[in-house]
Amino acid sequence: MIAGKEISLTIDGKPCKGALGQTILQVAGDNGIEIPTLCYLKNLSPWGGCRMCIVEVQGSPKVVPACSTPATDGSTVITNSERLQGLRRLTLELLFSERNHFCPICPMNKGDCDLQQQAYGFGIDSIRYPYLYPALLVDVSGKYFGLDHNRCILCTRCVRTCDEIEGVHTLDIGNRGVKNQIVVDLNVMFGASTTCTSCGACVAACPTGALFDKSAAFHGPLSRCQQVRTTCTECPVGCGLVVYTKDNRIVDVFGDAESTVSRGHLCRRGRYETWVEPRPRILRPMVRRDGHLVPTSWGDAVHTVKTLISASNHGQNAMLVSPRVTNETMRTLQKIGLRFDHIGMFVADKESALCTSPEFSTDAMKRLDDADGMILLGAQPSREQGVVAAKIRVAVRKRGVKLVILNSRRSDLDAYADISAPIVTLERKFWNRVGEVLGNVKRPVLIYGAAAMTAVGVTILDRLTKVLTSQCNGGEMLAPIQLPTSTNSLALAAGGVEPVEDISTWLGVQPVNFLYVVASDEPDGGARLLKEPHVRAFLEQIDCVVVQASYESALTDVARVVLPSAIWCEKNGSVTNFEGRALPLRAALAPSGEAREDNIVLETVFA
Amino acid sequence: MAIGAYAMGSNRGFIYIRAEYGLAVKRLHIAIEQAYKYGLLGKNILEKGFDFDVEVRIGAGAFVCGEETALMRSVEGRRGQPQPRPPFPAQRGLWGKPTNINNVETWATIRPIILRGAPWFASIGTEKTKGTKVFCLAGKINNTGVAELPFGTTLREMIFGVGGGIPNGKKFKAVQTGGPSGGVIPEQHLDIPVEYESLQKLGSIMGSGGMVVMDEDSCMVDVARFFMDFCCDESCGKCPPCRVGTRQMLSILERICNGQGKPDDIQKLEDLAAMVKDSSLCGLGQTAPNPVLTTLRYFRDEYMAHIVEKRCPARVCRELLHFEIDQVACKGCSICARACPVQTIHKVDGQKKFYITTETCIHCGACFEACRFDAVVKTSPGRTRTETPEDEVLAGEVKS
Ligand SMILES: Cc1cc2nc3c(=O)[nH]c(=O)nc-3n(C[C@H](O)[C@H](O)[C@H](O)COP(=O)(O)O)c2cc1C
Ligand code: SF4
Ligand code: SF4
Ligand code: SF4
Ligand code: SF4
Ligand code: SF4
Ligand code: SF4
Ligand code: FES
Repeated sequence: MIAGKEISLTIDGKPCKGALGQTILQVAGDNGIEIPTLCYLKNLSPWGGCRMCIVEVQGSPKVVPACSTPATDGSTVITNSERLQGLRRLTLELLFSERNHFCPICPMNKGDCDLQQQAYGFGIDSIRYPYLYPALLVDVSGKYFGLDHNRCILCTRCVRTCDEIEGVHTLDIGNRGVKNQIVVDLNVMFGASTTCTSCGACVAACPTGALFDKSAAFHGPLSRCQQVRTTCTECPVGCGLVVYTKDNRIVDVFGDAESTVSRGHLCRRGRYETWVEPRPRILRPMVRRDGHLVPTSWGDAVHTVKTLISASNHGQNAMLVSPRVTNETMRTLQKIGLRFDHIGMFVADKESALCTSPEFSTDAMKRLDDADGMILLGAQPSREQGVVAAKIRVAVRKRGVKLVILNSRRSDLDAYADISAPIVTLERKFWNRVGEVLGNVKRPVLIYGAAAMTAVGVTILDRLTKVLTSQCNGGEMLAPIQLPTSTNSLALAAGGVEPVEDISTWLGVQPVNFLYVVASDEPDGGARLLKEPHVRAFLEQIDCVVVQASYESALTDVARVVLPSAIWCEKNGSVTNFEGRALPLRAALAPSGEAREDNIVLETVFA
Repeated sequence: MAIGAYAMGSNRGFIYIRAEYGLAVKRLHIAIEQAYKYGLLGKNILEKGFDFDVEVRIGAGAFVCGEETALMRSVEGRRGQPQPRPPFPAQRGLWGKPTNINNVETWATIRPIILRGAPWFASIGTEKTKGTKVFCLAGKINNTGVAELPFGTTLREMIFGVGGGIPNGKKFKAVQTGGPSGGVIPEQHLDIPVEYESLQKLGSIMGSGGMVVMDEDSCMVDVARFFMDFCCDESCGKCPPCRVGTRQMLSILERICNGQGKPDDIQKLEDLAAMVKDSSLCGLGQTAPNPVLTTLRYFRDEYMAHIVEKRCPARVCRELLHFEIDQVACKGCSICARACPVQTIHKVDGQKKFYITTETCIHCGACFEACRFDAVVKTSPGRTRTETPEDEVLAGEVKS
């Protein structure tokens, strides 16, 4: 059997072409023939449980599920006979009789529910069998989403998504027969789960109102929302987002299945944090008068900034930008750069070392899918770049990939590792074990992050590169993957913006007397600049600080002028991810209040 | 298994058995230990340079784990749920490896076939089904137990020959073949030779070779309800036809037994049964409707009696029974009154006789069992519709 060989079959009388290894459902779909499904979801292993996709194959008395049955050359398939429609209809009736499906009080009512859509399709407006209606738990203990067992049809799309995409297997089915229920961990409430990462992928996979996003519930159907495809700017992975909005408000955020980077998956940060977590916004320009920040017009604020700049002409001017700013903002910075004595971006701990030799790792995400061995050095993807962590877990659990972790802090990924160790000088015995574990590896991937940029870390990195090159048994050792923490830091560094970690030293070199901070939508408003007390004292003393930011923070307390920045979903332009892909940002909302996009603000101020 | 493994080039074998069968587990362990001692298992078997190990895996008591794909998931330590085939075990089985899976009985026939040759084996049995089969005779039969018989033996020979007939001079009513999801076969088909095709034609299956014999005291609706209850309980729940379909059929059967059956219930049962049979993923769901379908086919009148006349002809369904004390036969011993859990049997004023207050009787049958003079009379007289107007309300649940 040669997978991929062309085959021909007849489906509903229509001659169809497909490839050996494809299922009947895939061949039918490719040839424009639709077969109803409920438990099938692209990218997941077939389950064959819901029995909606059953078809007749000539020569077989039994009906077979199209989603899991391979298409065979020369076969004749019927997908829509009266018998099949009758069986499907009864399956739906049974599902409706099993649990509570009173649609009017369901978060998925009116179009977002596959079960309801199917019922409409079959013209079901009543059922012949009595409602069984057990009173089941509505588990809203989780932070971002709820699980209403009463709406669950046990299709296991959530179970398989959690297992095969996020790789944690938080969910499974408990009990038997009609008593079946989705269970979280060892049957705890969602909020008490110790394994759930809140990636929300299960919610996106659920065809009914069983798993629902709390913030999105009862805001009407998504089909009536505006949809904007943009990019997550929480980390350098750059996952694709689809933002659903209504009345200039976000209703929900899902992963973009079309994204070449993430293929629809997201982590908690991109999926929920950016829009569910309350963060006080700066909505108007403000200037300090008599020690207090008072709202003012853009014109007045810009005028004040200009006056401050010209007043400070005898001293040194400095600008600090967040590494989250867009490529377009970077270009504006390059234009206005001459006006400043120093321009720096405030990166994360040890990240400046990564940025001094910025490396884009072409096709890194694809390499993670193909790798048979992984080494993670000084990076915390399960905290920072969740979608990378998911790929690592899936690689270990589903493909038996070898994993070696060297980190300064422990993380949940250690549990998946063959070896995990701290970043310290390691003994020979350790290296022997690494050699053993990676002995048969042919396509290794070495991922390293900012925490590897210590003296010891760099020696380990060198050593690992050598071990892998010599040991990957004729396979090719591609360049290690640099995984930074800050969103656009590599692009900004490549564009010549100086990475700054130690603000106090950086500011202390020259007597700076005017500082312009572009904090943009840093979740902490840029407050981490003030981590060291003497920086704060210094900023208070120069009294000439302009802060351009989206969120209120301690930084605004020391500002002379505050300018409101647009946030991620209000931005246009692009960011460049760690693979070097320029990814588009498209504004899903008009900026809140009087906020403006960073580059527009800069162009206005420095016009 | 070692012979089979040698032929197939396998080095690992598993025997899967339910934890409930403690004695069998114990004996298997002893047998395996002995086989290792004799060098019939383990490394370099009989100096042939062939290694084969057998492990016993204990199941956690689920009927569905006998289904081959569920069994393999269970052996792997996962949830025992069936998977669609293909892929067949021989393509992708245990841990994704090609796997051969057979019943212990099948393995047991390998040895005699090798020793005596295939023609000898083929000479036993019928045209289509060769060899012998182990049958398990149970129920209302004199000789219960296990019997190995050639295929083609008739049901009558099994039940009245080997089985020694029905005890207590009762009349034979039906036999259920093939385990809990087998069909029920009535008297008029007792002379068919037992083979796969003939049983299938009658709506039943060979299955495990179980034979449950029922006498005239068995109610066929109750029998169908009993086995549906089993299948519903044992459904793994993966597919809605079986998970919900068996539950809905059970509800209908329960209300028929309770005298709350509605005229269209038979139609509903037939629709559901056909659908569950066709749509279910695995053998459990595909065969679960067999008892219902065959009882409907051979004993439809009993269903009609329950539904229309509210009468249980075999006098089994509790809600449809009526207990009375025959005033002539009653010796006044009072044992019935003492047995009655709701104290509804009282002495007839001034006489050494007892009577039952029907209104408060809960039809438990304790008095019937207790009386040594057959004075307690159990009948199922039936009710007419007008007598019980509340029936209509009870049975006609919310019209949806
Ligand atoms: C619900 C269900 C339960 C089953 N239980 C058993 C069982 O307990 N023992 C058994 O040997 N086969 C059982 N089977 C049949 C097996 O799946 C399998 O077909 C059989 O063991 C194959 O062996 P054979 O070809 O040697 O008969 C069961 C099948 C189903 C659908
Ligand atoms: S899950 Fe779907 S079918 Fe069920 S109540 Fe909600 S909208 Fe209706
Ligand atoms: S949110 Fe993610 S980790 Fe949690 S249960 Fe759902 S899929 Fe699994
Ligand atoms: S919660 Fe949703 S996805 Fe999960 S089994 Fe139930 S219906 Fe399917
Ligand atoms: S991995 Fe990074 S880009 Fe992707 S969703 Fe998470 S935070 Fe956003
Ligand atoms: S038919 Fe029943 S036992 Fe078999 S897979 Fe479906 S639900 Fe499970
Ligand atoms: S059938 Fe039971 S409840 Fe009725 S009279 Fe006899 S013992 Fe009492
Ligand atoms: S979609 Fe094929 S069985 Fe559910």
